[in-house]
Amino acid sequence: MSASRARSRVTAEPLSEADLVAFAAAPEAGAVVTFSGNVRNHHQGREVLRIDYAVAEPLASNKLGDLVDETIERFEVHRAAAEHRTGLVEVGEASVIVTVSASHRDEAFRACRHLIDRIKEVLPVWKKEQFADGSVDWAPGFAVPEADRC
Amino acid sequence: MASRTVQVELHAQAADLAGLRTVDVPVDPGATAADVKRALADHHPSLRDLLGISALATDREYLRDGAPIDGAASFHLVPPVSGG
Repeated sequence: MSASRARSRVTAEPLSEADLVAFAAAPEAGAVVTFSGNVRNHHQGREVLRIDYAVAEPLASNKLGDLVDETIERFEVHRAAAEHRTGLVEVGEASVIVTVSASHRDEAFRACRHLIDRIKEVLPVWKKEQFADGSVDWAPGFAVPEADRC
Repeated sequence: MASRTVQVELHAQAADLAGLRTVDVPVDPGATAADVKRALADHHPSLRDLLGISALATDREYLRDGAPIDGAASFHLVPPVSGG
């Protein structure tokens, strides 16, 4: 995969949507679609204060790179980028951002949807929600699909 | 042939259940990912319920249960994921 078309990062630093949009922009791209997944203040009726994201590294960084490459291979996109936070993320902050550029909007929307769905399905990341009542809980998750195992 | 020891990094609920971040388990020559999971179940019974829905992985790839682990010495146990 051409390094100039793909970007991925798993980081403890705050994410910058502007940086990803700037990366994805290209003269031939008429559409740039971004999905930002933010920490929300409620889960199943309980007030959430923040989420602590645990990750398996370096597996997570390697897999995020694979998923960005997969998106570029499967869709007619010019550039694709994805970043995911680790550690404590406060309500309202982005825990994941996905940005895709394509010539036209249909392909950009489809590719962006594919990439965020695959991140949720495959990336070795776990949410530990911290609730206002002082309790903490691992969020329920998805078993890694057989098709993603070698 | 003598068995060897591999290291498995536990994550999320798995680490909480075992009370450990990394565990060492013995495997025989020719072992598969399923054999590593069986060894985990034998040595850390608290993980048994989670093992059936967890994947074994290297630093690079998830492994099918039947996949040989070859010479790899360290793995991740990946319970159901909840990123995003």
